[in-house]
Amino acid sequence: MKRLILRLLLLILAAGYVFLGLSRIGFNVEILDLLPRNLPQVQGLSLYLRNFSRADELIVTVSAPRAAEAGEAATRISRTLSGHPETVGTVVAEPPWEKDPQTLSGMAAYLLLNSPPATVHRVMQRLSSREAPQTVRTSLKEIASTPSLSEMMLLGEDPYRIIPELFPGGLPLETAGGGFSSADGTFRALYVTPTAPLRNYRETAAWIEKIRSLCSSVLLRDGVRIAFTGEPAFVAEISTSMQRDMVLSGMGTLMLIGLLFWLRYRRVAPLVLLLLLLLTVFLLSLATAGFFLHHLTAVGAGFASVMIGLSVDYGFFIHERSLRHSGGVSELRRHCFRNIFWTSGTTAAAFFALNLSSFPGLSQFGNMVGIGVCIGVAVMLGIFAPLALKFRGRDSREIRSRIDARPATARFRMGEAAVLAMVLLLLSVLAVKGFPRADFSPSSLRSENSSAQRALDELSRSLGRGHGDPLHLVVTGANPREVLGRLVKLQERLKEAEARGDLTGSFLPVPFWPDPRNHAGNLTELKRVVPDLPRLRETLLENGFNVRSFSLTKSIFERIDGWNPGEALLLPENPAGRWITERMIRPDAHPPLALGFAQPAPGHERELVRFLQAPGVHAVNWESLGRELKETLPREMILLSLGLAAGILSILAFGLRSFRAILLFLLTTMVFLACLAGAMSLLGMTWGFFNLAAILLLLGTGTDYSILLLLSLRRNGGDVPAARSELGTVIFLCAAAAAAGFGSLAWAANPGLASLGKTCALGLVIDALVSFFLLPMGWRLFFDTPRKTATG
Amino acid sequence: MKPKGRVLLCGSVLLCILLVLRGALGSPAGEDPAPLPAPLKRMIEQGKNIRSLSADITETRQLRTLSRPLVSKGRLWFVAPSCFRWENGPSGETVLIGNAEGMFLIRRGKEGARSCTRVGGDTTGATGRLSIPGLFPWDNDALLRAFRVESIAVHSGVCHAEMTPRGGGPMRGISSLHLDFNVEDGRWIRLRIITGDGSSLLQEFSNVRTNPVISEELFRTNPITVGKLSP
Repeated sequence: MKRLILRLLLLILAAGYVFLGLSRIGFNVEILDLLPRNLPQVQGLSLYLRNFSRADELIVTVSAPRAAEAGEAATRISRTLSGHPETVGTVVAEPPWEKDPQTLSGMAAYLLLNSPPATVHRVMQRLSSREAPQTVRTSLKEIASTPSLSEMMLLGEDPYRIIPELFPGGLPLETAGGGFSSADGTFRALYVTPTAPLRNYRETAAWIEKIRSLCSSVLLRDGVRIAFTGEPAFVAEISTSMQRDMVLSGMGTLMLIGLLFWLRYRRVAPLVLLLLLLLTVFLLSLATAGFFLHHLTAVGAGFASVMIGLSVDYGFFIHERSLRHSGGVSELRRHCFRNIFWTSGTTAAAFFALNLSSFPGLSQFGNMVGIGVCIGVAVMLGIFAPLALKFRGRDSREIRSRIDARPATARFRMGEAAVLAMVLLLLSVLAVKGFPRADFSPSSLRSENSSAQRALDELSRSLGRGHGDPLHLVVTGANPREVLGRLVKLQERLKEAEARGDLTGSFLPVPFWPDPRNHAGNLTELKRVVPDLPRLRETLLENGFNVRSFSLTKSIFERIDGWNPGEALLLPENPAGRWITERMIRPDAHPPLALGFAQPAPGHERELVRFLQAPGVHAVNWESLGRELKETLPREMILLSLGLAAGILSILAFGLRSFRAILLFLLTTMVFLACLAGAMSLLGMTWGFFNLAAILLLLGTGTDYSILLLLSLRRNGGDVPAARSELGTVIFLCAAAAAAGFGSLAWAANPGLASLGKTCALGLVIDALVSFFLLPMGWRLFFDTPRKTATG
Repeated sequence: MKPKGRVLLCGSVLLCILLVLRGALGSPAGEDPAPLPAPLKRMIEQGKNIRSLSADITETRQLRTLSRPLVSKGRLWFVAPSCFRWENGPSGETVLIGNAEGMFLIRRGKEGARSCTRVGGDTTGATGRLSIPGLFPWDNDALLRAFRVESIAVHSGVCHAEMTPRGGGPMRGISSLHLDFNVEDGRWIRLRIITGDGSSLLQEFSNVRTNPVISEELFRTNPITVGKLSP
């Protein structure tokens, strides 16, 4: 009774632990959070995405064969969404300043007050009684002669030419971080935000579904396509796919494991128990992870199947032992622990070694699997071992496996020949085709099947300038003043770069960045214009303009007049002001930031990045990130793998105490790695950011097979059939289970995780075949032991 | 890009009739399958025989912010495939030149000094991109790609076509186009562009000469030449 209460208490505690741990877990969909934070490109891009990519802004894209249809569809969707204030907070379908140019007056007033005194001086001169008539006459002349419709219209609204003075680098509004229409009008973008903040990915996904359903209700012509992208679309898509990956790959692995177990043992009760315990291990591991990390990345989410695939090895081992065990539970545990300790120790160590990588995504993956393996050992020894023994006691049927008997047959030699042929084929492929191609482009981090990514790519293609990826210039500083200083310096460097032909265009939000030094002086100066407004109005009327042409000028100076000395100068709280603030400047952020862009001349990208990088200045884009990763990642992985290999060799030197055995191990490992490279080349697979770590994991997990065989061969005095008979079942089951675990990741939405899964699964199968069939052949050669005559 | 050029290009619809179809020809395939009305189609076909052209233009700009319309006179020269020169004002106060090197805007400043600004880098295919339908050899379906023909009527040998832009990019801001041309020879008579706020620009063509000999100097920007028609 006491024992039952204790068990119930333990169960309740475990359930509470799982509930608490799981409730702390969230999903992190940021690709950059998978990459080393010490890389300048990662830091800069993170700053850019965190501060200038709006987390709650969904981009609805509309494309149609004809511009009119795209425009019509965009208008209808905008109207429909605006009609649902309970779901949609704002819908912006055209530049806010175009809808109501008068909203520009508030911004123009701000910019005028924020301008350098020289600019204000020039404006004051133009408005002076001496120059105003001439300014107006010049504007009139240019209205009559300009070939530009936009210039003609602007001068009509702003005959005193205040706006062009404020934008010495050209009007920035077209480059303010997001377009609305492609040049031919066949592609449109609408920016939609929710009414209430989205608190988690489930709410985000539900909100997007509502928007999708509202858009579907709009009657659209044939050929009009709607897509969704932006941060909320990625959050919903990646989070749900991560959840799906974790569940599907985990369930798939469990099913395969169940199948393997059934084929080998044909027992229902231990099979069900094993599967339940594997689920328990998964939940406990995930809950444990919840206590020390709050967000699971796309790569971390792949831990489930790998952990299950590895943990089940201990279950297989215990069950296999229990079938031949005649003593009590403690003895079984002790016996199993001795064997499991070494293999689980090296496996967990290999996964924990991923912490040495500067890739947080890999570190998290390593930690999750490492924890899972440790918990797996504890659960299998603690719960499965006694129950397995109990099942054994109830069932006296003899369990024979076909695998057990096969190593002793002559036909088994055929296997050796086949594996030898496979090895020769793969080595030939490697010699002919070379190592697998390296793909370190940032696109390999993003899902190819992502509809949000496809929509984003189309958005970039349609609204971009068509000259490649522009460089984002993220400028930070300890305080707003330092940022302004850096912006001004950067502007000089951009001019220099343009003169050298390194860039074709650039923009910095210098006029928008608050410069309090100018405010007081400018305010006093500009307020002097207010009494002169009637005169300025008369000047216009006398020179061919009507009263409408005075509207903008009047509005600007009325706003300036409303400002009090000492009042903080803020960008106007109208849609145009907010649009610009959100996309170009963050003076109140910690640290304050500004965003500009530079369009590198083709072939000058690398030089331009180097030239523009300075303290507090990040010149970043995805292409540069890819280059940076390509330079750092392979070196890091090779160093890590060499370190791990040195560790394994040291352990082996202690365990085997034979130079020839170690040499044989090294040779086996090298052959299987070369075969893996050949197989990857043959299958057209590439080396990328994540599957480079496969070498590390294969060294940690896959080498177990050769180590076990070497130990068994030594134990059996070089009797190859005996060693194979002893380990055949275990190696087959373990390799199959681990390959199933990794292989199930091949369908993961994250391509990095999928490539890691495929590479590891392929590597484990090759490793098991090479170790099981070829290593004993090598043993015969190295140790000159007499070949036993095959029987049967 | 120079500030002036940015201002000119930003959200631009080049008002000049030479550039009114600039964006249209940049648009992709897959356009309106409806055939062009016969008079417009014929006008385009006739324009294909033109190798060079010169014309006088009278422009009337009527803005909602102006108390009265502004009238100015100008000239136009074109040599196939891609050279053009558009002058506005009696002594060429504003000149737009397109040649193999790009597109340049020349303005007369104070005391007669002229400034030259590059406003575009590509005049490839300027035959179509910059031409006046009916006067220049023209890209077949460019008109339909850029505009929807709302109505077409012929009176006394003059065809009047009302068109609305298909929207987006350089066409933004234009509400409608009204084109009058001679049905017989396809030559343009007048073009009226109406903007979204009700302002308008009327261009009337006269003294049109087709296939004259035009000096290449007219399309050079350095030294800046004053336009004159070669004999």
